[in-house]
Parts: sequence; structure tokens; C-alpha cells
Amino acid sequence: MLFTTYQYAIFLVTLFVLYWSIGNRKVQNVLLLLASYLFYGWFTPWFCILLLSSSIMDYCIGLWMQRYQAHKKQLLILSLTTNLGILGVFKYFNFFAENVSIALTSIGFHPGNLTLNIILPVGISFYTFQSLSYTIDVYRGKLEARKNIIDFMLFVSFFPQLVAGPIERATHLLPQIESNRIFSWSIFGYVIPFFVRGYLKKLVIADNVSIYADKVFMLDHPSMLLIVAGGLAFTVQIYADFSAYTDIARGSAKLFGFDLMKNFDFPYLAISPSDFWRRWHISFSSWIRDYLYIPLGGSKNKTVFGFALVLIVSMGLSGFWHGASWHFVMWGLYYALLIFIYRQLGMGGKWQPKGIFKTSIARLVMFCFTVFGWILFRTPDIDWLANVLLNATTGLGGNEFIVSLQIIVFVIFYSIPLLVFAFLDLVLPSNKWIQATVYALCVVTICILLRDKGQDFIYFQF
Amino acid sequence: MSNNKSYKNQSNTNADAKEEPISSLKFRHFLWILFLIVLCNLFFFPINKTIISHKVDSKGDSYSYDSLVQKMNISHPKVILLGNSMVGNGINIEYFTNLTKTATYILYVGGSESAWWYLAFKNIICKSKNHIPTVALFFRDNELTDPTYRVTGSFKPRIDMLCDSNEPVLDHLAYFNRMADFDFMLNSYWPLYQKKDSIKRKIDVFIKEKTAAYFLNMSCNDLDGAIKTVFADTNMNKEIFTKYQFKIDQNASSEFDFKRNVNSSFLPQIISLAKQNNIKLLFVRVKKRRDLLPNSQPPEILAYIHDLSEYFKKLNITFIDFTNNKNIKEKDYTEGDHLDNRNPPMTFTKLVADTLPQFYLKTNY
Repeated sequence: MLFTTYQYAIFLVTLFVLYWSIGNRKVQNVLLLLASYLFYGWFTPWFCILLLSSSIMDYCIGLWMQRYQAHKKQLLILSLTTNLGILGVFKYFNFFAENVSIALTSIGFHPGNLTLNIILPVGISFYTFQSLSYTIDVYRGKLEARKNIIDFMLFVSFFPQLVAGPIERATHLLPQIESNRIFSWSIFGYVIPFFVRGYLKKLVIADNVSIYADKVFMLDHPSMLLIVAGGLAFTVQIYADFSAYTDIARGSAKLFGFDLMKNFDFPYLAISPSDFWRRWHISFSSWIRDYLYIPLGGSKNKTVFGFALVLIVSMGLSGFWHGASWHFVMWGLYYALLIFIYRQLGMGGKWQPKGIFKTSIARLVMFCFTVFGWILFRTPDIDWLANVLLNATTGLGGNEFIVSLQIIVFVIFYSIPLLVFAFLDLVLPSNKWIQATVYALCVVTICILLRDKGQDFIYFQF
Repeated sequence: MSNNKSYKNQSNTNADAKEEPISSLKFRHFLWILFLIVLCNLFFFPINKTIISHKVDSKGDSYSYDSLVQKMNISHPKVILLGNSMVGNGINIEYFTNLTKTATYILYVGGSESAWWYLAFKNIICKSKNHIPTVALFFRDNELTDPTYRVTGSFKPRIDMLCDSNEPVLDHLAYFNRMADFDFMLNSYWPLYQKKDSIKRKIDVFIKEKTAAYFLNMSCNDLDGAIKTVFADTNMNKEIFTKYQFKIDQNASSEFDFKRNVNSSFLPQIISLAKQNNIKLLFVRVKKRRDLLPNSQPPEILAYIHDLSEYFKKLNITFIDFTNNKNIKEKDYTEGDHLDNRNPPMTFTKLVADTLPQFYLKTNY
């Protein structure tokens, strides 16, 4: 079920009324669990079987780890291999099969078609990581294994964040599931702003800007200036799209008394690549940091080579998580390279430039790096990108210049609401009258500028 | 471990989730929001009783009614090939005319669907000063019975350009049909929502005029022309564009129940108009690129096409289906489903030129 459909609105309202009519927390949790499976299985019911299996398996493994302490390492390995194995089969099998086929063909073998007709279950990357965080935290002793299977299954499948995050930690979401929620009219004070922001970003900004981004990245021989314009369009699109999903998810969760974690913190104001990853898709980057980067030694590696290797593994896998394609891996490695260079230049970690001017320059430079990163991310494939980088003209004249300028103008226009939100949050967070005025204008803007046939959320494909 | 305490005041346990700047609004703020929304709407009264406005500024547009009629009249056609880019980009008109020895004109706009075809048939072909004896309508799969496909957003101005002052059939089939009851209610009673298309177009024009066009000293039409040139289908990467078109196809209507949809489509309307105006109608199904693969058509499409053929047979209407024509091969395609009309051998043009003339309405020409 999509957030931007009438069905979701009816689903949410019905669930809200039923939920708060029930006084009992346990019954509320059962209701939410059933609703989450209905939400997830709306288009493809068999996806629920996978989700159910994964949940039951990790539930059992959590309890066994607590009971059989001597074998908890093996049990953790079982959880990791099973969860990542399922993810690997559904998401990466064809990628590896194609690459093996190419490699074998290059040395004279002809293995034929090794790929399978596999449909990628929506959200598998997200709930797999969420479930893994539970088993890893139980292994580490940070969390006690849960005996209540309903509560645990709800943690894995809670519908607002099931399909595209935020990837919640068990230490954050489980206590909320296990606590009584008290209804208060004040929740609407948070819910409405989340929804208004979310729907404006998705229906107005992301869907309209995507028209230009899509067209540029379909061209056979775009000029450099067009690529930059398309890259800028995608930079705005992906932030608007993804943060919109998070806003709507958080607003939906808030309706039922749950707080989901914040997933974005003005990422385009980052001053360095490390700072960018502390602001972008926070739930994912913190997961990678806590469960991969730090266990591998992180920034405490004694040798430069060791540190570089950790970066390559962490960021490469981060890129790979986004999609079964080499350009996603390249995107991850690009950030590994940036983080490495910044660190060597003494600008790693929590480095902070002194003064407004230096901070502004740092932000501008990082923004340019970010836009290039998004070009890598959005590129249709490596061949296309290589062809463009090697053969593109500058595009400083003729129709391409005109079109590039037009795209940039439209992107700036559609970025205005994002700038307004940033201004509200950073400069006027407590002025509710101005915020209310802005939200009224947002509603009017959604009515006028929403694109008729909307697009899927970008992160659904991961 | 269960915790029965209320979570209401529990602090966020995740150190990475920073303090939420979105602050809670109170009831009085919601009243203010409501007041402002109502105020904004007052500027857009009165509500248009016909609900669907077809006003458009088509001056200078190459697909405006006047432009299309003018171009058509120049060639004095006896045969019109009607459709979208399947025919516009798929048939080479000079080669076709040479082969058939019959004055022919291609009346098309890229991306158009049955609503536009209906309007083109009704307001251009049927009202032509010179009677046009034969019209061949080119389509893919179920396009003839999906009246709501591509009638809004960027496609709406194209539709509006061909509208008469009043188009009840169009409005009923293309717009009221597609509106969920909620949508219909919003359109009927919310002036802002009703006028959103025209407001959006005005904003588009304003942005172009005050920025890009201003700095470049160009008109908005010239800007649009530059965009069309740069993003022409021929400039697209063949593989990427094909994948994109396939994705659009998948997301498009999957209504393959012919019997259920035919009477609420433009198909009977077009057939009725043809009878009234003594025009011979030919329907031509174009071979899609994916039809090169074996078993490309799922059972529901096969059933749909079977019902469609039976329908045409009953009405004694000629239906030509190129889908299974083995002479059309991969090399005959350019990007997406477009067949090559620029480079020899222009297979599709030749095939159509060989097939169609035997079905033309016999007149003294």
C-alpha cells in the first residue's frame, strides 16, 4: 500500500479509530500487527510469508541466545547467514549470476542464462537490517530477548517504517511497543506538520523535479552542463522523496503514540563527508557504523591501510545495500575515498571549520561533492557514465545550455519549500504562528502543484 | 522484559536521533491554518459549473487545432493515419504515399491516446472541408478502451487544444470516469482544486518568462522548443528509454476486460462518427518491441484482442494486427516501441503500404 493513495488514508483513519477505541495495550499491539501485515501484503500477499519467517526465526534465535549462552556466537552466525542469505538471494542473485556469466564468457565458457525470475520483496533490505539489529544487540547483552512474540513481530513489521525506514533499533522501538500509549489531542500538533511536510515534499517537489532528472539520465549523449543540471534535479528529488517518506512514516507512527527516529538532519548543510553521513539516512548510517564500521576497528585503526580497508568495506557495502549494480558500489566507494582524503587532510571526524566564511566554503564544497555523488547514484549504468565523462561536450551553448538553465531555474523554484522548512526549523522553531501560516500555504501548494500521476518513492526499490 | 509504564515522557534512547525541531501546534493554530486555506480559496471563486475547463493558450503551438488543420489541408489527403508516435515515428509519409499512390496525411501527437484520437476524429477529420474517405487508427493493445489514459497533467493542454466549447462526451468518459468520488467532490466544490491545472500552467509560464526566457531574451515557446529538441525521442539512449517505456507500460492501465470497458470508452463514439460521416475506419494494431519475444502476450491480452476482433467483425470493421508479423524484426526498431521511419528498409512503412490500400473506401481519386 502506498502512502500517497486514498486507500492508505482510509486504512489509517479506520485503524486510528479502532486502535484508540481499545483500552488494552496487548490488543492494540495485535491490531497493529495485523494491520502491518495487511499493509505489507496489499499488493503481493506472499511477501508476508517471508516477513513472518524472518521474524519468527529471529525471535527464536534471540531466546536461544539468552538460554544457551555458550552457543550464542553460533546462533548469531545463524541469524546473520539466514537473514543476509535471504536478502542475498532475492536482491543479489541475478547480479552475481550475470557477473559470473560475463566472467566465464570472457575466458571462453558459455554458461547460458544463469539468472532467475525473482521479484524483489519491497522493504526487504530495511526489515532485514532492523531484525538483525535485534539479534546483534541481544548477543552483545545490550538487550534482553523478548518473550512476547506479538511485540517482537510488531517491532519487525510496524507498518509506517516497514518498507522504507527509518531502520529502528530494538532499544528504541521495543520499549514503546511494550509501554501503554495514552491518547492526547496534542498528537495532532505533531502529526499534521509531519503529514503536510511529507506530502508537499513528495507530491510537489520530488514528483515534479523527477521529470527533468529522468529525462537527462535517459539521454544518449548529454553535455556536462546538462548532467550537472540533471544531477542538481536528482539531488533535490532524492532528498525530498526520501525525507517525505520519513515524515509521513513518523506522522503515521505518532498517530498511534509511537516516536520514530529522525532520519535526516539538513544533509546538504554538511561540511564534510563524515558530517554528511551523520545527517543523511541517519538510521542506516548509524546501523553501518555500530554493526560494521566500529567492529572492524573504525577510525581507531592504527595503520592508514587498515583504516582505508575498513572504509572500503563499510562504504562499499553501504552502496551495495542500495542496489545490485556496480554504480551503487562505486557511489559507496566514492564516499569512502572522500572520507579517507578528508581524514588525511585533518578534516575528518568531528572537524569544524572556524568562522562563517570557512564554514560556508566547506558546505559549498561538500555540496558539490554530494551532487557528483548523486550523479553516480542515479546513473543508469557504468557504461553510460563512462561514455558521458569521456565524450561529453561542455554544453555551454545552443539548446543544451538553454535547457540546462531552465532545469536549474525549475529546481531552484521547487527547492523553495525545502529552504522555508530549513529556515523554520533552524531560525524559528518556536514561532508556531508562522509555522501554521507556512503549513496553510503548503496545503494550498499541494492542491495546485501536485503532479497528477505520482511516482513511486525512490527508496522502495531498495 | 515488559514495561508497563507510559512511554509518553520517556526520552529518546537513540543518541543519533536529535531533538525534534517540529514543534507541536495547538488547536488555535489549526483554526488559523483553516482560515488561511479558506481565504486562499476565496480568490478562486466562482466555481466553474462545467467543472472541467478546457481553456488553453495554444497560440503558436504546432499541435494547436489551427496548426493541425492547416497542415492537413495542405496535403489534401484521401487517407489519414491517426494515432500517436507509433504512427508518427513509425511511418515515413513520403515513402508511404509513393508506394500507395494516394494522398495521405499522418495526424498524430506523440503520447496521445484515445481521448485525443476521438477529438481529432470528431473536430478535425469529420469537420474537414474536404471529405476524407478513409482513416486508419493505429494503436497498441488496450489503448482503444482506456478513455482515462493520458488526459491530465502535461497531456491535458493537447486535449484542450482540440476541444470545442462544450465536450460532454469527453468530460464524461475521460474525466468524470476517472475521478474517484472524492476527487469528483473536490472538483465540484473546491474552486482551488478545480482550477489547479490552469494555475499550474500560469506558474510554469511565469517562471519561464521571468527567469530563463528573460535572461536568454527568448519567448516561452522558444524555450519549449529547445526542450523538445534536446529531449526528442531520437536523442534518448535506446536501451534506457526502452526500459523506461516498458515501465510506463506496466504502470499504465492494465484493464484488459474488453466487454466491461468498451461501452465506457471512445471506441463506439469514433465508430459512430465514422458511420455518420461516411468514413471508412481501419484499425491497425502495432507490434510492440516485446512482441519479438516468444509468448510475449499474457492470456489476458490474448483474450482482450480476441474480444476486440469479434467486436470489429460484428460491425464489419477492418482490423489489421501486425503483432504476429514475422517480417518485423529487432533491427526495425529504434527506441522503445518506435519503428524506424528514417533508415531503409523502413519495413513497417512498406508493410502498412502493402496491406492498407485494399481496404480503402473506393471513391473517385
